[in-house]
Amino acid sequence: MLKISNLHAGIEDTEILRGINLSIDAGEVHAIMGPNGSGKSTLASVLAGRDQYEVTEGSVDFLGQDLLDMAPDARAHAGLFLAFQYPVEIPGVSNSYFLRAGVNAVREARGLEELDAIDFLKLAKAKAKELDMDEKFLSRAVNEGFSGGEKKRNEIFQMAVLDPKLAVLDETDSGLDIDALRVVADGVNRLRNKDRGFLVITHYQRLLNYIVPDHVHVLHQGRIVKSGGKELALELEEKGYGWVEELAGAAS
Amino acid sequence: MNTEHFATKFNEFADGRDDAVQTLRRRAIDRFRALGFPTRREEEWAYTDVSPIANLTLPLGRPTTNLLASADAQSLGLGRGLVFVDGHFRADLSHVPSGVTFLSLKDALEQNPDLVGARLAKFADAETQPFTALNTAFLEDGAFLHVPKGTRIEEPLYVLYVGTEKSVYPRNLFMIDDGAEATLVEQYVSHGEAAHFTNSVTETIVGANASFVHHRLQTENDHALHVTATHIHQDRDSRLTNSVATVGGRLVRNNLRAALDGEGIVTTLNGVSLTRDAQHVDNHTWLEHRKPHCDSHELYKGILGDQSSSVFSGYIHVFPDAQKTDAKQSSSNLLLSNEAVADSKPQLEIYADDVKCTHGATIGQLDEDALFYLRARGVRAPEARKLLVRAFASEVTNQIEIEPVREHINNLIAERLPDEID
Ligand SMILES: Nc1ncnc2c1ncn2[C@@H]1O[C@H](COP(=O)(O)OP(=O)(O)OP(=O)(O)O)[C@@H](O)[C@H]1O
Ligand SMILES: [Mg+2]
Repeated sequence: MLKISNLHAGIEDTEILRGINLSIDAGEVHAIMGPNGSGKSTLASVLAGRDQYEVTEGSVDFLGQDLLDMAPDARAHAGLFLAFQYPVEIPGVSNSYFLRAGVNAVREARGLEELDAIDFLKLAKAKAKELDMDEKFLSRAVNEGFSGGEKKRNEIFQMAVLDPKLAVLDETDSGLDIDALRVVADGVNRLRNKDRGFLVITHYQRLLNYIVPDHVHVLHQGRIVKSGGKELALELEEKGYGWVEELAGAAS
Repeated sequence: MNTEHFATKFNEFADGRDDAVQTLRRRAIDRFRALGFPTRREEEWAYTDVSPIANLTLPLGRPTTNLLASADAQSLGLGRGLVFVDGHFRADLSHVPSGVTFLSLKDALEQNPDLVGARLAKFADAETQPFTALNTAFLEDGAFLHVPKGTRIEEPLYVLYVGTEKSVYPRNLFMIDDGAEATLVEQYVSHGEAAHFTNSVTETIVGANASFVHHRLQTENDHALHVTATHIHQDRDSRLTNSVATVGGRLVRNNLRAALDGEGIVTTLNGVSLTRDAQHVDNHTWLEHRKPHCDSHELYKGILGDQSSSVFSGYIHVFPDAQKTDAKQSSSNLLLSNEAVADSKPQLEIYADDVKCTHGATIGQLDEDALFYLRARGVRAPEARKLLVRAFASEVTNQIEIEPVREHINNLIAERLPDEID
């Protein structure tokens, strides 16, 4: 469903992604690991359409469409979802109002009928319950005053409501205690099915015990320097990112 | 400048009149001629050029009879109440609630000259303020509200001013006696697309332990010129809220002066404006903290597109006696265009030593991160911008407790949001 070919992207004169190749098929879970600053979030942002990054080379095909040619909202309509590493606080905009606007835009693009306020609330409350969230947060401003863990949960909540085809999770596990981690992982696992793909960015093998990936990739200085099965995550945890340096040396 | 045009109009208007306020008018036109229109060389007018007003040759608004039908008036107004067309009361379009002294000033002057005369023009300064002098010279009609001692009016009262293509001088007098409570919504709208000029003066007297909430909506057409002066006098333990929403008009200047003349007063002043094209909106406030233990909160927010401009100037004077004053003032502006200009000028003069006075001013653009976040969830760009602008305004609009009024302002802001955003 997603095919990234030789993707180069950066900001101003600095190249951050330096030739990424990655294919994700429907039903697969891919994990990306890599040291700080290796370009994981940049990749996620470029996929979601953040225009501060300039794509200088390469292409991304998403379900037969040229992803890079689409506006961020159009990407969401096509079924892409990004759970932000740092979810944004938006004072004055309520969670439910904002998410209903998003859901209905996505539904409209898919030829589905709009959800009215009541149906939306029903759906939202059901999903909130699954994620063990106090439904009061629906009327609060988007992420404002949320704890780190609540913000991450809110991302997974939004994912569940938006029902995407491909979800990119950028360090959704960071800053979560073990209970919250389980709730979030369960939330993701509930959505796993043969039609949906996941790209899970993480530093920790811990998450991958709960969300077991089909493929693991190691990103280093804007390139994927090694790919493997779930055992690669274990190996990485054991040997540390120093090992990645060596791999990268060998690869270039 | 063209003061003579206004003097000539005055002679046409005033000749042959000999009602109770004629002396007031004559004195005022003399003051106006002596003062002339303010120029940008004067500090209080440094950011606002009034020459479009000074050069006006519009005819003076006359009483109308068949202009506008009742249905039109109702569709223009958010609630049923007093309706004025071209500055003159239209009984046929108005709904005067029973059990309240809420009527046209002209009628009130005839019916109860002592009550009105005792208060009229006691606080509005026609001696040094040219626009107040001009308004007083043409003083004839406006809204009059008197809420007697201890009376509480539950339902909001509505005043609708419809402008067409004239110069009009509405004069309002609101008297909220001791322990009384009322909420009033004052709307200024246009009928048609022609330029018209409104120069209004409002005197508000809030008695001890009384409460008055006053919303003013300026939603005139893009050619309208509008200068207002609001003079507030508050007695001890009273609460007053004045909020102004400006989403129309080519040139709008609001002067607001409040005297906090007793202990334990709370004064809340709010403003929100959306400007686009070459619109200019200027809010000037002057607060006098005369006595101890009073709070004032001022929050003015501007949303600016295109080449529009806005001004906020807030002057706070804390008298030597006014210990424990708590004055908070803030203005913030959201620039949607690189060509828009927002000026903000706090001025504090504090003569008491045990006070808390704060002011803050911010200028920013739409938060790119927030915009991207919303879009990444599927919200289309124009809708996402509207959401963020609405959120910016909500700090002010959410304080409006009357839902139709709040939603009307929110909707107007969303509708009039410029398409071009840098
Ligand atoms: N907006 C930006 N402006 C300047 N430099 C940037 C910007 N975004 C990313 N970079 C740089 O690009 C590199 C990759 O950043 P990125 O956030 O993608 O890393 P990451 O792999 O997600 O790191 P982490 O594990 O810390 O989240 C870093 O050196 C970072 O400083
Ligand atoms: Mg990152």
